[in-house]
This record gives sequence, C-alpha cells and structure tokens, in this order.
Amino acid sequence: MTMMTLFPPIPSALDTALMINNFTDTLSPFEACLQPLLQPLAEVCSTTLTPVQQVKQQAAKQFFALGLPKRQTSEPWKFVDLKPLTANPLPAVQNTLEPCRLPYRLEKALKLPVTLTVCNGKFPKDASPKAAAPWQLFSTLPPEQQATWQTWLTTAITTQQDAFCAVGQALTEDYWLLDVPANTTVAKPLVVYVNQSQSSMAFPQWAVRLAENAQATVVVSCSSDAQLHAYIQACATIELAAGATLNWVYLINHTSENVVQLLNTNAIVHENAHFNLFAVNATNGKLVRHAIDVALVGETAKATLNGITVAAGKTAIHNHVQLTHNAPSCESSQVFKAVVADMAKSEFAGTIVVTPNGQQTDAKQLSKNMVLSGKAKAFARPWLQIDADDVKCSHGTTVGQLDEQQLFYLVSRGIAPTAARDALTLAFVVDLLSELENIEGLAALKVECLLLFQEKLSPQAV
Amino acid sequence: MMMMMMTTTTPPLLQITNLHAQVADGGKKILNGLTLTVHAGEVHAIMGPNGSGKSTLSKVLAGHPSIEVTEGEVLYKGQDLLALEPNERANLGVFLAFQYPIELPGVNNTAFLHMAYNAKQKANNLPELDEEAFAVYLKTKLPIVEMKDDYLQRCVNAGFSGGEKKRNEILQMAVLNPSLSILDETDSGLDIDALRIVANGVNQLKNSENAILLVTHYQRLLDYITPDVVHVLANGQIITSGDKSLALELEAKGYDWLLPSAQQQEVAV
Repeated sequence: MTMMTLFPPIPSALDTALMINNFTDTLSPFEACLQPLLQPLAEVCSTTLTPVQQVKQQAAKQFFALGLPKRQTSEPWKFVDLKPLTANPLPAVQNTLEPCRLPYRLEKALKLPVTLTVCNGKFPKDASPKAAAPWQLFSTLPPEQQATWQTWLTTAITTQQDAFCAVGQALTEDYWLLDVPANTTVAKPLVVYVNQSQSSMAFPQWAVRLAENAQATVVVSCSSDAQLHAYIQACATIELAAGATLNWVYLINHTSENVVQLLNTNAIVHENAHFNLFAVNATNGKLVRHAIDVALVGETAKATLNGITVAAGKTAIHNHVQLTHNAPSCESSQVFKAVVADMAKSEFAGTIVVTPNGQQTDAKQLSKNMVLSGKAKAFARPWLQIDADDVKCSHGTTVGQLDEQQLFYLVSRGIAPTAARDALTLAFVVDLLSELENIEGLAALKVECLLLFQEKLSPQAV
Repeated sequence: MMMMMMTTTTPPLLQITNLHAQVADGGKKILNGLTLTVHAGEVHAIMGPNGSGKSTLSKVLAGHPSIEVTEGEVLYKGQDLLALEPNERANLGVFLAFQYPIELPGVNNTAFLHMAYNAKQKANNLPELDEEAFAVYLKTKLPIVEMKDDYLQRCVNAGFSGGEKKRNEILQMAVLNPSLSILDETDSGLDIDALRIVANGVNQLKNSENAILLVTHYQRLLDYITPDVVHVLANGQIITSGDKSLALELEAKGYDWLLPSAQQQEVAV
C-alpha cells in the first residue's frame, strides 16, 4: 500500500532558487546575444573614447551592475512574458543605412514636415539640422558642448534602474538631443519617425532638456514594415527646468507581429514645469512595454500622463508608471485606457509615490479597460505609496465589456453589429483622444488615431 | 368595429398573428396570442395597464434579444419579420422610438445619424451620402422637432433632458423615414411643450405610405396624434379595439371594466 499524499511537497530551497532563476534562464539566449556587444564596451579603456562613447560605456557598466530582472522578485516584470524576445535569436544590428521610405501616413495627416527619421536604429548622418533647429546629434555637436551633455547623460544613466533600458543606452549609435533655450517656444511640433525596414535591433535614444520657460512638442512615431523581426529598445531622457512645458506624444504602430519594443520615458520635472505625455499604442507587435518614470522635484510641478492601448491578435502591451511627488504642491494626472480584443493582453501598473517632501500633492490615477473577447485579458495594478500627511491622491480602475443595451440601440437603427461594436469601442477612448486636440498643431492626430484603432479592431472593414 | 369596416386591396403593412412571447431563456410569459393588423396610412394606439405587454410587443417587433417568441407569426410587407436581424428590420423600414432612449457617450450624434442613414441606403442599394451632403440633408430635418444645430455636435442622448431624448428619437425617425414606426411611450416624461413638439413632429412624418404604432398609457398623447384605431392590451392579448372614442372612455373609466376578472365580477353581482 502506498501512502496518499495529502499536500504537494513543499518546494525545497533549491527548487525555489531554480524557480526564481528561471526567468533569467529564459533570458539567457537574449543575454548571450548582447553580451559580446556590451562586454567590450564596458571594458575598453575610457581615455581613448569620445564623449558619446563614454556615455555608452557608462550604460554598459550600468547594465552589468543591474543585471537582468528576475521575474519573481521584480514587481514591474511579473506580468511581462518575454518569450517574444527570447524565443528567437535576436536580429542583427544593421550597419548600413537603408533609405527608409516614410512608412506612415501621419505626415500627411498632420501636415507637418518630418524632423528626423531613424531607420533600423541608424541616425541619418547627412541630416544635420538647419541652423535654427533646437536639436542635434550628440556626435556632431561642437566639442565644447559635448561635455555638459556627457555629464548630464551619465548622471541620468547611472540613476536609472532598468537593465533593458541600459542596453539601449549602451548600444545606440548616437543620441538625439533636443535642447531648447530659456523662454523659447519651438513653433511647430517636431516629428520623429522610428522605422524598421529590415529585421534589426534598434536603440533610438532621445535626450531632452528644456531650459526655463521653454516649450516644445515632440511626436515620436514608431512603426515597422510587415513580416520583419525587430527588437527596439528606446529611451527618452527628459529634464524640464522651471516653468518649461513639454508635450511628448508616442504613436506606436508596428505592422509586423514579430516586433518587440521596450520603451522607457524618464522625466525630471522642476518647479512649475509641465510634462504632458500622450502614449498611443496600436501595434500588431507581440510585445510593447512602456516604462514611464516621472519625478516631480520642484514646487507646483505638473505631470499629465495619458495612454491609449488598442490591441488585437496576440499583442501584449504593458504600461508601467512610476510617478514620484518629491516636492510640495505638485499635481499629476494619469489616465490609461485599454481595449483588448482577440487574445490580446494589456497591463497597467502604476505607482504614485509621495515622499515626505510632497505635502499638498494632488495626484489622480485612473485605468479603464474594455475587454472585447473571452480570451483577451486586461490587468490593472494601481498603487499608492504615501509618506506625507497632507495629500490628495485618488486611484481607480474599471474593467468592462461593451454594453448590450447600447449595442442594441445602434443595431436597431440599422447599423451592422460589427460596425456598432467598433463605434462603441472607439467611443470608449475618444474622450481621452480629445486631449490631443489641446496640443497646438496636433488636432489632426485624433482622427488619425481613430482610423488606426479601427484598423486594429476590424482590419477587414478598412 | 372600425377595423372590420376597413376594406382594402393592398396587403397589410404589418400582420401579427397569434403571437406568444416570453422573457428570453425561459422567463415570464408576456404575450399570449396577440393578433393585430396594420395597414399603410394608419395610426394605431396600443393602450393598456402596466405589465400588459405593450413594451414587450415593441421589443419583439424591433428584435430585442431579451424577448423570445415562442409561437405565432409577424409579417411585415409580406416578409417574415421574426427571421430578420434587428439591423435588417431597421433597414427595411421598422423603427422603434425607445421608451428610455439609450445614452451613447463618445458617439457623436451627427456621426450616429449618418452611420444609420448610410446603412439603410446601402442595404436598399441606394446611394450613400458623404459627410457634407448628409449635413445638408440633416439640416432639413431639424425643424421637424424644433431642434437646434448644437444637439448634433453632442454625443447621442448623453446628458440630454428627458424631452431632448424623445425629440432626438423623432429626429432619427425623420432621418430614417421608416415605413413602420413604433413609438414606445414616447409621451412619458414629457412636459406639455415637449409633448406638443414631439407630436407635431410625428404628425409631419405621418403619410399614406407609412404607419405608426403608438404605445401609450395616457389618452393625452392622442389629443395631439389622432389614432385611426385604439387597441386595449391586457394579459398579452388585445382584448378590445375601437376608434379614438375608446381612449376617452378609458381615460374616464380606467381599464378595470374591460379586464376579464372585472367582467366576471359584474356577472357575479
């Protein structure tokens, strides 16, 4: 007679260790691909390096210092399935500059000239800006200006805690620098295309400094042609001086399913400055993770973070927000909406941290999700961590489905059920999309986004 | 009675025969063998006490999924109406003005009307209108319900008052030009002025080609829209029909005297 086991065996310490390491193990092919690129960079003697190379070296060192995250112990990565990144060998870094066609009709819709196209991770060498332009590539800056950027970027890199982000910071070909002098308004939105026309890794980096009372709007559109494989590790490093305003818009729209984009947006916001982020995710790519880390460090600083995710197929989109109120009387608002269809997955994980300095904080956080199919999933993980006693913080989340009564109302007017579903789904995000109309020069983007969403939800209808 | 006297050679617009219906998934039985014939050019009022099945009848005709038909037949222009999807019914000219119009936050009123109009045009192989042409067409319909332009830029019924919602229903009716309009308690929740506006709208839309089914509790609406026939619905059946004087009689005497239990009591006394 055998003994019946009533309880499963308690995992031994060794099992637990293996479980914890499992995530890192699955990352090992990924690490193996990157190691040969990062190791020499970290070890080469720095005196022989140019300033931009020294910055990259710092990032490589940061990568090894941090190590890749362990899923079981690293909260932000708990729900992120990195298989799309690790299942296949990473594509190569492209060394030839392919002429990239403008992939996306955005330019036409916005009626704005393209400031810059980053193709397969390569910054165009000939695209030196016009004299009056506020942006430059790091490597082509006059030497006397390189030192200040080097110091600034090195600090930013050593304080960020994301090993994936460090990969991009280390392996990027160059940094796109936007430097707006005090009391200057950049008249028109700057439009940056990040396009993949070949299977490739790409590490576009944006570094943005707005001086006192400066204002600018940047639209970053990320796309890739059908069929190709790509791993894009992008990062925007931002610092806004007192009274500055930056509108930063992402449009992530990959045609290919085999695209993984990991994206970091790190912003430091000083006194009375305003960081206004709008992130639109309507991609076919298997995985997008956007980590947003905003620190409000001066009195009455403000952050507005809005995100819309529309995902179908097998796409997984993660928005991870860390918003720190580290000065009195700051204001922040986060609204993230997600629509998931088919087998898509979305996650919003947002933390508002109020430090003891953050008295009189006014912080709002809202995650609203619509799940359109039985196999789609929406996760919402809102957190507050408050270490001050005079604050106003709210957070909320909703997960719902289309309202049957509303659907019937539309159908009873002759509208086909599929069209009715699309109309109600778009209605769910349209109010947030209207925020784009408040940014000068971007009114046309709303219609464009609606079209994009429609394409994701009913590809056959368009 | 009035209905009996009507002789016509054209087939009826709507012919309901022995209709039985219940709340979907084996719920309460509500309609118990309802029979009703409506010809083009007629206005029929359906009256009856609470719970008699008036709204259920409206829902069955529009194809609401919450009601299940268990027996009987509904022919609309000679076609089996119950075999059609709700949007197909609408595109063939069946229109239900909701008792409680649904709010659609985020759906622009003009875009909604445009979508509905073009769906109908397309289904009937008629030319669709582009945005500009539709805006012109829509503008001609606004005076019917005395609506201002700014309603069109708002979201469908969102934040509308009760009266505005009902006017918006009639605006939809005007835009879609249905053959059979079912107005489900369109008078409920309206003040006198709104009632007049809504009724005027319906009267303008009424013609010899279409028919209107007025579902109502009160005789008041019938002061504004004159019915050709008044039916009393009780326990899921039409128990009596008459001309508009029946409505006045109901107003004076209530429904009790018509109900089977009341009749029996009278006999017993």
